[in-house]
Amino acid sequence: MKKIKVSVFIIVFAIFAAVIPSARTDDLAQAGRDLAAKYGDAVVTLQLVVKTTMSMQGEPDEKQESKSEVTGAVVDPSGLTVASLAAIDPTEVMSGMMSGSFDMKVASEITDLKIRLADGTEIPAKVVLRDKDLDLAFIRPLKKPDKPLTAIDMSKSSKPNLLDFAIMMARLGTVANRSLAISADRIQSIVEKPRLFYVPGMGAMSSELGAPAFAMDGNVIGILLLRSLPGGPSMSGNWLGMSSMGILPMILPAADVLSAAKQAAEANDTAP
Amino acid sequence: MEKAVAAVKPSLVRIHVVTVEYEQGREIKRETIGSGVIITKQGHVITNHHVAGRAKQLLCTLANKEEIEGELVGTDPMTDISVIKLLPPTKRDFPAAEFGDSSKLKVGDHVLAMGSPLAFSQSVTMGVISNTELVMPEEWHETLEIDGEDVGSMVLWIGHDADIYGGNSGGPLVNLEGKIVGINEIRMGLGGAIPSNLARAVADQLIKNGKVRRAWIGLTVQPLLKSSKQKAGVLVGGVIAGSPGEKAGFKAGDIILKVAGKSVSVKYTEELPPFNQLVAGLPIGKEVEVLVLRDGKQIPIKVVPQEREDVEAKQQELKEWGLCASNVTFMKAKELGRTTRAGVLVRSLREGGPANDAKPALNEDDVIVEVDGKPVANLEDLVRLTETIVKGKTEPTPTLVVFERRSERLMTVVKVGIRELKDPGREVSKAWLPVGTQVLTQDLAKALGLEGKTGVRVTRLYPNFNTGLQVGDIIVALDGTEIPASQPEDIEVLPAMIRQYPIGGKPELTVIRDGKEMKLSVELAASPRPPREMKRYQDVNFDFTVRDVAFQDRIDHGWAETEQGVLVDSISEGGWASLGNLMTGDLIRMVDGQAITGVAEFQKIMESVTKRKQKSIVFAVKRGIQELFVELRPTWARLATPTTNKQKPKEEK
Repeated sequence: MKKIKVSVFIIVFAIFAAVIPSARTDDLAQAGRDLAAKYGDAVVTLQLVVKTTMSMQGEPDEKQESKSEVTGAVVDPSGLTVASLAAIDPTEVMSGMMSGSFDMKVASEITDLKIRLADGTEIPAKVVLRDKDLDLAFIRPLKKPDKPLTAIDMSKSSKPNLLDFAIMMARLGTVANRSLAISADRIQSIVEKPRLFYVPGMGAMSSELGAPAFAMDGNVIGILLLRSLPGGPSMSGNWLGMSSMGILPMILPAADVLSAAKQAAEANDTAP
Repeated sequence: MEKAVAAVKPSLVRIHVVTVEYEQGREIKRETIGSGVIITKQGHVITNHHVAGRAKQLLCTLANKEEIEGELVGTDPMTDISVIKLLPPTKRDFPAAEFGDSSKLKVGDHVLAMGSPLAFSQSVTMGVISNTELVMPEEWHETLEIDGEDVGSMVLWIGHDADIYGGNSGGPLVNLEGKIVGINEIRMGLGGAIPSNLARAVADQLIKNGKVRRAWIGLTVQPLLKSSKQKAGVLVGGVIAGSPGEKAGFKAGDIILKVAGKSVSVKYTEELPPFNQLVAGLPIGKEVEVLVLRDGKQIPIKVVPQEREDVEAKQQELKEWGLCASNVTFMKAKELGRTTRAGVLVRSLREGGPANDAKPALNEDDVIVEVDGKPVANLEDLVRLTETIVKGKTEPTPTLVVFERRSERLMTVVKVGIRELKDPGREVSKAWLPVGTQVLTQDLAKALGLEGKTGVRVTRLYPNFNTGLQVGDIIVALDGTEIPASQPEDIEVLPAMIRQYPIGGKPELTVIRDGKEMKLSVELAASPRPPREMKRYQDVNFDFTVRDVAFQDRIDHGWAETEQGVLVDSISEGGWASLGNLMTGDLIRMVDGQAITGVAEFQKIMESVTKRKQKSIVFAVKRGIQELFVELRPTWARLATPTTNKQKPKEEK
């Protein structure tokens, strides 16, 4: 008997909770669907093979190769794609985590990289520019694509206010056939120093790093990247989670991405 | 006991082995240390297969500390015995230890374990024989399997309590008469040694033929069942299809009473190895009579043993496919349920390599049977076809591949060829203030009499940059904008503000120096290039990579600009650089007395070393605060053609 009462209460609460924000939810859903239709194809899967080399106290290296897939956002019809540097090359984060306690050198090398479009086309590509400071990586096809790719217009951007919605688009993994995934999170915090960042809700998990974030008006806000403290995360974190560990997903404003993209477009192909 | 030690110690050998393993679709070199003992005056050394059986290079240290190259004469995974031969610069005799009779050992006899425990130089420990017929207890549900072979099926170990450790493998177990009675192999609480009688017989064959030939009739045998009323005999548990045993008419349930006229009996696990040794010793290709008991009747069966094949075939890395493969052995074909051995067995795959990237991807244990419409009977076929496919191509070639996965016959497209990205992408260049700073925290500001001020304090000046700043300066504003840094976490605030300026820009800093506020115009530099963007040289003969010294290296190590050289960026295990004890992070300052200023110069010298096949090369290196010489001694004779830089493969091993 008691059990039934509790169940009734839960159902009533659930109905109540669902009805109140329904109008706004519909707007949000529609905005998300529109964005999916317009820019869904610009959200791509980056397929990588990373060779990680570890050396302890100067000893010979241990090498390990691994495949991974991360989300990228095409920002130019030529195929120039932006992604989170931490997602495609986690060396810096790993180095930071391992520094100090023992003499370990960790290095990584991207040995294969492909841009996988929504239709399954795979385009061999390379990283042309990195920005460790902003956690940006720019990827460019090795050969010019046969036709211009759908690209996100980074020049038209919006600046959200606190608790505005940020709609993020990412590609799921193979288990979900790399389908487009859209999520919406409210801007929980606006970080102003050392530079402007928007912090979405904790729903923005690391699997969405590299996801473009849009405002309700359909304009881009920026790209979801991983912000980390110099020297890597501190492992003395507490229950507050990632932010206390010195890492947190944040949206880098489109203007900053655009500025770096100009350098990426100019980057020559000369290997160091 | 002293006499026993004196008799064998001069024959002890510490073996430094560069071995080859096949993992994750690559051939990988590893280094290991084991022990051995000289058994002929010509310099034959007996050791374990698991020490030397897959050796690419062998460096033997004798008891007098002399180092001599060795070569593998033959190896036998089934008994875990290998024989190597010492290769002195000039022919000479070596002090050989003598074998004793292991069958005469008794529990409680004193024995000495000799070898190189934990890679130490030749050492001796003492104990007693604990067990003369040690087997893996059934309760452990484990076998000692090496290269697919169950060593325990042939070896009854001599158990002893003389301390042995990693590095003792292959070393002799010696009786107090100074004779070898065993070859130490395992430690399972007690030490376990291969009896000398078996080890000697195997070593003799390896020296004579380079391999051990064994007869095989294809029966699975086991001890008689506990419920069996039979007093003697060996129970046939199964007969392998297609084996000589099946052709001869053996059946599961038969009890073998005699083999080639010799009565046999296996009632206990300990009795299996001698029976297996008996069968392995039958004449290959000659008819043998085996008497079996079947349904209460004694039946003579004539069987023609065939030569036993290794359970696992040798592997080869196929870089163009991103996999390691081998031929299909008889037993593997059975395991895979195949009726033919034709094809190439995939043993491991490189993540993201062409075969792993195919759709569908090839998997371990798949058998490649057709490439580009042409049948693939064995590894040789696949290597030849691969050469044809990649010849003259600069890009991987989509290739139609038919393969078998258990009972399925699948088809895929593999892009055969090598393509590895080597360009990591440049780090974006931004404006940078070339000084080290700390945040002016509220406490610090108060202590310095600057309460209410925010900003940073200059902690170090970098060489070659004349900013006009001094250590101790407090920077409180940039072009009139206050620097809002007041907590340690704000360390990035000023750098982030600086990065908004163009490289070469000259913002005005508001600085407090000695309590007085002043304005200072500072020219911003370009952020230094990170280490990953430094010029590199990979020497594929010596197996190491160096790079130019980056700005960050100088900061990290406190190296002045005058400190020149190349930094060792990576070293591969088993390479000449690794064997010479060069270490990652070493700064190579000089090569053979010639100062080095950078990678370009170093590369020229190394190419010259390769061209001349120089016998040794000496680096003067800086390691931490120490300076030392590192001598590399390449063995050019082991390379068919030394690889010059122009021939440098794109892939590392």
